[in-house]
Amino acid sequence: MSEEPILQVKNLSFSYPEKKGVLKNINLEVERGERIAVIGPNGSGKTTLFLLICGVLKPHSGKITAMGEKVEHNRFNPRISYLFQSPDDQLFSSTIFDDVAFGPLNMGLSRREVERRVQDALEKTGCKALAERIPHHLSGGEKRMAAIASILSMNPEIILFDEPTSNLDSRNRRKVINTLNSLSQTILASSHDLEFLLETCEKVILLDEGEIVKTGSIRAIMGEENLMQSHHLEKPHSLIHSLHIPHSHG
Amino acid sequence: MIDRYANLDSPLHSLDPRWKLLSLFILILVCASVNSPPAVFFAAGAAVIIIILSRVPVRFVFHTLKAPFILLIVMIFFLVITSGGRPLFGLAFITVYIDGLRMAAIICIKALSIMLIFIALFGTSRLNIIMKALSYFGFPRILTGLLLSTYRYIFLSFEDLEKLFVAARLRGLTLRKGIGNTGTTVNILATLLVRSYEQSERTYVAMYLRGFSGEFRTLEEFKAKPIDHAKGSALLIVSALVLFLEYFLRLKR
Repeated sequence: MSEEPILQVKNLSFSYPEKKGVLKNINLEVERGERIAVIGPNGSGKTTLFLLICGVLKPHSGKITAMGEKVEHNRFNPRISYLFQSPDDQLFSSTIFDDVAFGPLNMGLSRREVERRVQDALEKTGCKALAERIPHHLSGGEKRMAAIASILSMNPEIILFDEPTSNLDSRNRRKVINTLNSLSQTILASSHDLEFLLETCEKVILLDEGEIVKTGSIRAIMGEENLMQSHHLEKPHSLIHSLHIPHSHG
Repeated sequence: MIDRYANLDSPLHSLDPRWKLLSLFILILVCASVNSPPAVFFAAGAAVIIIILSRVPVRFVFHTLKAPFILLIVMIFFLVITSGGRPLFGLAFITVYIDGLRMAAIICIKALSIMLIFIALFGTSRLNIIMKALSYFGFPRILTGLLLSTYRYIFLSFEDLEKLFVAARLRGLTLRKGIGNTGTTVNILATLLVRSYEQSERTYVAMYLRGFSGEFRTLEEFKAKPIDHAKGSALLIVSALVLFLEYFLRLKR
């Protein structure tokens, strides 16, 4: 008997007051442990989809089920976490330790458990040395890793990553990739950094104008140059087998 | 940031935050209320000893005092020439009064003492701990939460403001042009306001997603030991001595 999907989205539609049809009749199923990339041009509805999945926004129609339970609007659900595009939105406490402990403390865990989870999360993300630092004083890469630690400490089952490599240099980008690849959770990641998605995800959902255009193997879909171009995306360089470099004639 | 040195080790750092808040806040009130020179000098001496005991670096103390000190200088200048009373000397149309100088010196010493105690209070505990102590004394949680968030994000807002001004300067904004640039300045400030509002919305979502329900919880548990009672009581005695000097001398007169 096959296991029930960890996340099910059925006939989901959503509009903002100032923008109609942001998401139109979205259907998707995610199996436990899957890593799914969500790609699409700006304004295609990626962030809105994530905010609906974690219950921040209320669907106009349709249903979202996670871990067998309906996702309720405005109800704290530590089993689903969302990483913001900007770590400054996520790090609001006076120290990194406090920030990483914020979620577990609100979950009502014991002091010992909170401390254990914080130490674990800091270790997994390589942020142990930053524990007593003030978020404002950290570099962009450090902030990003600390923001990841702040959601890992809640031990979520589904993690939604919104542009996790934006504004990062290659060293910090690599750190994020390694951290994501070391996680066992179900992951949905949206990014314009397609090479990053190729390294971290197996499947892809291509969204455009609020609709799912195509889903399937990340290499197969990103490798379709015409499909990618028709949705204002580019085929990643690593999937282009022969690069034509013009010779200089001197 | 005022709590930059909150992780040092000193008699003030190890004092129970509730005792610290209560005793130093009372001392601040007492400093503000006294006027007789012996009481003011005694309070100033106590403030200096407290800041030395806190082990907060002197450079940081001076740096923090710089801005208020400039304001004090301006205030002193106006006070000594406008207070009236016995004149000390006159220069052209300006007369410096002895009473004004005396009053300025008292105000200056009181203000500096209060600021030193303030640094000792907020510089030796992390702000969220002080806020928790404030909540312990019945301060509304919503206000402590607002203070904490403001403190965290005010630096980001300043950075944003700086970037907006740089972007405007690179496109020809010069502050020397005066009134002509008022519109641009207002636009920049309005942009900052909108950005701050959006930032607050996103931060609220981030807090809600991690279970925030109106209370900033910390792992810090307050446990006052006998040494805390002793240190706290000693600070209260200092306040009592300052008041004694003030009122004893007044009665003697």
